Amino acid sequence: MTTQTSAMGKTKTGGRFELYAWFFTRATGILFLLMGAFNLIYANLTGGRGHLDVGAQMRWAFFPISSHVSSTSVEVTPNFANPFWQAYSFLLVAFAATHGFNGLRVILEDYVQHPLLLTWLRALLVGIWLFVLVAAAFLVFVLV
Amino acid sequence: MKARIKIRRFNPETDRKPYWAEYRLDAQPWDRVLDVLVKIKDYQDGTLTFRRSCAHGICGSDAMVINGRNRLACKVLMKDVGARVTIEPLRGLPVIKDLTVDMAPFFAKYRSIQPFLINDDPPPYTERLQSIEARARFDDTTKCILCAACTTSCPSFWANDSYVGPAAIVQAHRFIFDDRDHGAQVRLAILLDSDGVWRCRTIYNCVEACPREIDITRAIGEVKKALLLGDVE
Repeated sequence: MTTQTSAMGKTKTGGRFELYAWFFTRATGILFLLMGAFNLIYANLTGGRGHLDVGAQMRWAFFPISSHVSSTSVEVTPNFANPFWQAYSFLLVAFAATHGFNGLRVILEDYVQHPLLLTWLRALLVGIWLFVLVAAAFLVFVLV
Repeated sequence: MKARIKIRRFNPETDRKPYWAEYRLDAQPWDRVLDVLVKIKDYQDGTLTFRRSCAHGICGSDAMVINGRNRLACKVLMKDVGARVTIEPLRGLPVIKDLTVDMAPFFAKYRSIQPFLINDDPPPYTERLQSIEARARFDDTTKCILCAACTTSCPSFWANDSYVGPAAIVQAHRFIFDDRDHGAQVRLAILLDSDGVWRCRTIYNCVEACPREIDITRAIGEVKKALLLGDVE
């Protein structure tokens, strides 16, 4: 057992965390595209076709709040005060942010060898991640 | 053919840092790169150091970086690499001298996954029988010769040498999916670690490097799946 621990190196992150992070990345990667596709299809079927340019389509697909497409004179934007769309937009952004920040964490853990620096960078990353979540919640639930 | 061989050389007793040495010699197209190295050592420079044992692609001694790719010198013909060849030691392991690297860290990782049959059942009078299908389940990973070509081609391993590496995972796969072995959960628990299978980023360098043509990334994926689903089918 002693050889095992020495051979496997020093960093021991708790239990099954890496497994869940890995699965989350796979699952959200697919979910994210499906949710985006759903948004695009929904917006175009409900009358957005011809009103949304490519940029607006993309903004709509991955962060469907009405202020993102207000410049395109689309009158069909569903009312985002509707709790379904609010929860939906927030989840979409939260999945994307968590997916992306987990990717950055993985890069840090591969390349940052100094344990103290790694701890600080991890904390910084968690801070930015939480900020993005709070900002998204504010945009979706308060501003819109 | 007139061959020009550039070799990354380093002697820790005399050199402060590695340097490129160039050798010119006549080679036949059907010569292996290993034959050329032997010719250089025999006729031009006896101090050139490299490992070789069987010279037939089985022992895994002479893995090295040939024209930028991890190859066994005994399996590569001169006609396939051309007249200008660069040869370097494997990356990611400490160089002992010239093309010889210290394999100790590599074998420590190999030992960490417990590469031996774990089965407390009393041994039968004859051998432990296994069906053809059960044997086929892990056939691919039995081909590994522990040459380290995969692990030393892996950018995740270059970046962080605490990663257990593709070769050790291939060896673990060979036992995890063997139905005569009862140690699957022990090995899966070892590979669940953050330095276990999760450092694999599916870059596929290992697959390209493997002289035995093992589908290494597939094997790693199967271990990840076994960890996720908690069972070995």
